[in-house]
Amino acid sequence: MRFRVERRSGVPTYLQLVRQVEQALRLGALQPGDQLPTAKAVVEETAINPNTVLKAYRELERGGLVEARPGRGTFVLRTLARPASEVDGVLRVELAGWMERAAGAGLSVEDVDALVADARARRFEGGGARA
Amino acid sequence: MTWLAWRRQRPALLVAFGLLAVTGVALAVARAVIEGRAAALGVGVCLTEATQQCFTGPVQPLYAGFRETFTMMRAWLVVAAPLVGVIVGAGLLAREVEQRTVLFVGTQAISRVGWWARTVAMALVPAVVGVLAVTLLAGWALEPYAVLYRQERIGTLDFDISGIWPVAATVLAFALAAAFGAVLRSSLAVVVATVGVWVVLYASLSETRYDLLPDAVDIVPAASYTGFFDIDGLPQDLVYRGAGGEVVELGVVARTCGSSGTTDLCAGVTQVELYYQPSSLFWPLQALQSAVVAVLASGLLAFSALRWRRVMPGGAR
Amino acid sequence: MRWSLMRGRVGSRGVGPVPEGAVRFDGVGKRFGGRSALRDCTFEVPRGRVAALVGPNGAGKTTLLMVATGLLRADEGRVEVLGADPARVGMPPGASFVAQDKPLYGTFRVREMLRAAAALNARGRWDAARAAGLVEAAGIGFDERVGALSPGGRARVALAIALGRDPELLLLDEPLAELDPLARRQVMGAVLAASAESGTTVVLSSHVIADVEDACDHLVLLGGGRVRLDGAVEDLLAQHRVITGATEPDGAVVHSSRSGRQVEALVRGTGDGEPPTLDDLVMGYLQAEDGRVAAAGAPS
Repeated sequence: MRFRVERRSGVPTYLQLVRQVEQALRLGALQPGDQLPTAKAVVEETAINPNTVLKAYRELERGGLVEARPGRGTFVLRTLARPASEVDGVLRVELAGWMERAAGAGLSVEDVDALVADARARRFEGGGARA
Repeated sequence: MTWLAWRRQRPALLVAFGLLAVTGVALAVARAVIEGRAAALGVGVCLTEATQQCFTGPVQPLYAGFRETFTMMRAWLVVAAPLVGVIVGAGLLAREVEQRTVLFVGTQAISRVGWWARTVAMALVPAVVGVLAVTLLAGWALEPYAVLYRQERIGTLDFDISGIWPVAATVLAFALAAAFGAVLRSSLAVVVATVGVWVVLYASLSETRYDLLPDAVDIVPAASYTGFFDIDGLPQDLVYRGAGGEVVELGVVARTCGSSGTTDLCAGVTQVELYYQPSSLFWPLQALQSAVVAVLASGLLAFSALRWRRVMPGGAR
Repeated sequence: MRWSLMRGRVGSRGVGPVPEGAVRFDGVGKRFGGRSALRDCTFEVPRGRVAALVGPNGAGKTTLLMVATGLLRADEGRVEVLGADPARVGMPPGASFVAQDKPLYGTFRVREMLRAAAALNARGRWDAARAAGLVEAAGIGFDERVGALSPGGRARVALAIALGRDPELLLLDEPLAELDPLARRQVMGAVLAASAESGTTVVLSSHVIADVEDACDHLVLLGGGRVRLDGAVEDLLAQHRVITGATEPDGAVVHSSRSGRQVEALVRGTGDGEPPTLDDLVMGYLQAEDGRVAAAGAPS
């Protein structure tokens, strides 16, 4: 698993790491029993502070996603991937269709993003842009 | 650490040794050539004992042909000894400061003075050994020349290339280079300063050399005076005395007696006093001059060691 | 003027008793001729931190590091590095230093340079395998000439040698200067890997905040020879705010600037306003004039 750190994104680095691990778990790229990269390996590649990595791993541990085994490393406990079901397949097809129509109507990527973000915010976060 | 001292100074040491090696070869060749020439002319004996016949007749080409070689070889040897000292000494410390590796060395687990001492030893010992070897070789190689040209070891140019003086010259040049290297930042400046000061010191020492110890005197009756020829030493002065012990001016003698070379009872001269530095003073003079150098060199090396303990290239940027 | 905050253990790794600081300066001063390079410098870098020594060129960063390594002697104040006084013991054993320009013997081959380092550290700790491993990991050939290496290569070799001493404390003077972005990433990566692996405390100086802000969890800000800030980055950021408004705000204003009708102020406190970036904090304190920081209502 490789980490990518967006330095100017405004999101704290440790949180970026947490989210990237969660994403990997969701997509099944990380399975229970897999070992997370050591702090040494991560900092060697990303040049961030080792504390940041440890903070992220502690956060993940607190969430019950990983477990730190002293002397051995940090290991994944459970996955976030939902078992695939027919509903997923149908939703994907509908989404692909919607994308086609949006493209046909001349929407740009930014427009699509804005629409999707707004709809998602209304449904999942109780917010959304004021019209 | 020995390896490191050697490796750091490898270029300088190789140059110095190359210089000495070439000199050695040149010396051996010089001896071979003069012996060959003398043998060809049938006057080989003149190279082991110079008699009156060795200045005329078939020896003439020999005599005339090698005088310049002899002078050049000696002049080179006078220069070579301190040159070796400068070569191995100049880069010693100045280059460390120049390249700021002093900041590297000064932050490793080594005592700075210990490092300095090993560095100095690694440079000085081979230089001294090399110069000593070449000095001995020169003594052997130039012997025929010395015989032919009747040079006394105590004489100026010959003194400087014999005995322990060449080694002392090397040590002095080295100590000067080490001292300047601890103060100046560029190797070039160190070389210039060292050469300058060395020349001044050398000039002072040679100027005063023959005034240090008393002259010997040979009192020769005017009748049997045949010149400084048979003196065993370096002529310093000549005084003509009359019957009553009074001094007869050189100018008077010259005008009255002409240039015939004999002063037999001429202008009232009854005896000639020959003042000279006898050859037996060779070693005492060598010792005296070398002692002066030893004291100077010790002081300079001590100064360099102390400076090195606190050397810091002119403050941080 | 200096703002020193709670040097807590927030954000630090490891459990166990709180050890003494790795580097501690107390009222340190250093003059060169008539010029004062360091004045009343007081700060402490706790063990295990990756500390950035930040300040403009000429602020005294190199002088400070050289005093810490015993290359220079302080004129006043106390210096303690890993519990030892560098003025007495010279380079504190357990510490390593890489000077600006990464001085190495240019005519040596890399192999010989490592051998030289081993010879110079015969009396101390030297892990030849570690140093060689780091050189290899950097993709540098042992037969290359040191003088022919790229600036990044030189930095990696110098760092390999510094880490070969198995140090508890790594002092680096402008390690990223003159390096291209890739080399900067790699050198910082190597430094941080050492910190991650062995808990080595790192103090590195830089005049570019951006280079070090992701890597460092402790900040010592030097300006004009004085320590302006000293503390854990997390704490420092949490205890300041940037307030934008029409007028200068009340309270402990570090520095404010006006552009058009807006006044932007860096304030010491935990109330309204945005948390500052490290850049805001550093620029604010560097630009603040002496005595400008109001003492009223100063939080502890």
